[in-house]
Amino acid sequence: MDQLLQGILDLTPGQGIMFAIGGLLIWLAIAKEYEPTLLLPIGLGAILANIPHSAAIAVDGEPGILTTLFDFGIRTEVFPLLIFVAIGAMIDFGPLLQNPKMLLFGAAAQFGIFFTMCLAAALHFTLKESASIGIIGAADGPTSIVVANRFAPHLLGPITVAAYSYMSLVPIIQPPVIRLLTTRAERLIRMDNRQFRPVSRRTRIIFPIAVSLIAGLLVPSAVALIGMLMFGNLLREAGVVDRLSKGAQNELANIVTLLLGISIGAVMTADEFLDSRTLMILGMGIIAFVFDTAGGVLFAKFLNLFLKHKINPMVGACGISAFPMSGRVVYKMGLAEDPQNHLLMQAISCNVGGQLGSVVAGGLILALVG
Amino acid sequence: MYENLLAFAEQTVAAGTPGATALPEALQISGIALLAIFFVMGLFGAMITLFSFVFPETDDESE
Repeated sequence: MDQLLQGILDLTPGQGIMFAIGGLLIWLAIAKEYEPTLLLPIGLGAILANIPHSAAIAVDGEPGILTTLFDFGIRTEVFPLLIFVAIGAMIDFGPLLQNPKMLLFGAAAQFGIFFTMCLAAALHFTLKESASIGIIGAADGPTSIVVANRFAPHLLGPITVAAYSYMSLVPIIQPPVIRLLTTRAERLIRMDNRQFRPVSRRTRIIFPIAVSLIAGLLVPSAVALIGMLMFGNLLREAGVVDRLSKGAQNELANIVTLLLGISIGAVMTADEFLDSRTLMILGMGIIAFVFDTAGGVLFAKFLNLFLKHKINPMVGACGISAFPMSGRVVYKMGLAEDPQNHLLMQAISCNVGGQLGSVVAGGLILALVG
Repeated sequence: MYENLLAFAEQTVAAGTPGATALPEALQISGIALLAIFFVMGLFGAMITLFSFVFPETDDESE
């Protein structure tokens, strides 16, 4: 009888709070549709991990299913890297190849990562913890997981929750920042679609190979991140392995996302998650997204000082990764200001550049901080 | 006694004072990383532009 009641008797208030947090994540996923593919499994994982004596965590001293999945998939970085294969297969780099100067916004909109890293350092986090917190601003879940797992595994839970939650909140976070930093006249700037040149199939095929080589030679620690992303893209562009490309986009993406989400829940135990630092991390995560957006918008305004054909500064905000959400947000904002102003191509090309920029930023942080 | 004090002082400096932060190092790394990102992305851009000249789109190879 005692054994049957053991779970209830040993329940701590902290674990009760974690049940509520897990429930909140599940509610956000179902009711609000905020990144449901990740927040739903993370939410349930958090509940399973916090049940007293949970067999999902340990059975007779041996690792349970969640711990095993975490050790296999997250600690070794296999799951986030496989997600990159899927993302690479899903992304069409065409708009970026047609207008390569948009790559610069993919660099400028990483500003939030470094601002937040410095902020975290000023708040007495260690350098490695600060880098892991700053990388939330990559707006790219797998990059955040890889960096946090390498530098601050004890902060992996809050960092992952912040990264995925704020990515889903991009439509709420970005518009006010963009409006604050731009005038109506700037938001009405129309951009010339003739900047988009046609791209040959050879260029599309050589691009992922060349990017892997260049990035790998310059930043070897980024090879796994960029290499997997570009491998997925090569499957897509090669045109001869459609079955593999579709498998990466669908089956691989679905299975790994499912396992990744529930494994993250394994580290969301009350004793690690319920900490004043978690609240600080969640707060700094939103600051990272705000300063990413500001970095992209202000860089566009800076370029406009020298350009004859002006750039709509709203497009700069798409240099944040969060693909394709950010591109859609700016496209809709452009239409709201002027129903004839179609910024979709520019916004998406910039957004794709942001995806690349965030992975490069992750690799650089691994190299410089590690 | 003096040697003990010196060793204690060295340990304290090595461990960092309670008020010390990693901010100077974070600022330095951030500056380098931001410049490096612009450099790498610029390199990618130059590479794409070069490809578009070397491998122009042809009628039988349109995307």
